[in-house]
Amino acid sequence: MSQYPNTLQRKKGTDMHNVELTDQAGQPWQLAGALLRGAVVLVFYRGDW
Amino acid sequence: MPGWQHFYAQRRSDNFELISVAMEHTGGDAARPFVEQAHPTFPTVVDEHGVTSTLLGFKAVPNGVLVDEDGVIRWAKYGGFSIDKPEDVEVVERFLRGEDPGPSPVQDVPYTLGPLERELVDSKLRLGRLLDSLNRREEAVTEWQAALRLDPENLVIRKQVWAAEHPEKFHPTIDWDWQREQLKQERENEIAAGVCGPDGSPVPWA
Repeated sequence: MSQYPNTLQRKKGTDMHNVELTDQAGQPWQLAGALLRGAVVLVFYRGDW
Repeated sequence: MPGWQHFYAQRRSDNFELISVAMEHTGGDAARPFVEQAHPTFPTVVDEHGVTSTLLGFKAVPNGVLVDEDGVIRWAKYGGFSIDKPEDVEVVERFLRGEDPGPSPVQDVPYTLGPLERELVDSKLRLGRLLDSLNRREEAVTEWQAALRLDPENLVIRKQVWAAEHPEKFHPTIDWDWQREQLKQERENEIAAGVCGPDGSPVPWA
């Protein structure tokens, strides 16, 4: 396997406008819409938290 | 989730949005019980296809990622991000005050995949999800295990395999003790065997 610099540090500065997921109803959801309100705090999880 | 709901409710007038992203390859149904139990007033979205883990390169959750109003990531913590950790909350509050959140925590991983390896892992994950959607679970798990052998530190993939093989440990409640013991056992077996899967890929950190 290759050795590369720290992945997380390289991701700092990534433009998130085009991130598209789905909402709870299965409808398309874009982060760009949330950014209209201001900064965004994203919390990623799986299952209960 | 209740802790973040309290945080969000206290700062509702601030110009920011809190969004929880459920990393559930089976879609929103898997996240729904937990969301309905917590009744959050902030949005929950679902990453069914691993879009964000591919884009951001994370291998574990829970994560916190702070995105400024221009859509640019200013800080990220992969794994162990929690409302119960004062240091994590302090960073978020500093960011929301418009201050520099500071450097992101160093991600301590024993290896990083190259572009072609990453593409292969992503392809196997996508194929597995497609097979799973066609009720071909055994074949799906085979693909996910192949992805895990290439990226053995990736707990998102590892838990996907667990959830497919041991659904009773994930729903209706998550058995955290089982997960800890399972991870310990699997890693011990992988290191003892010098492989990270039945097909014999070397364990990079052993």
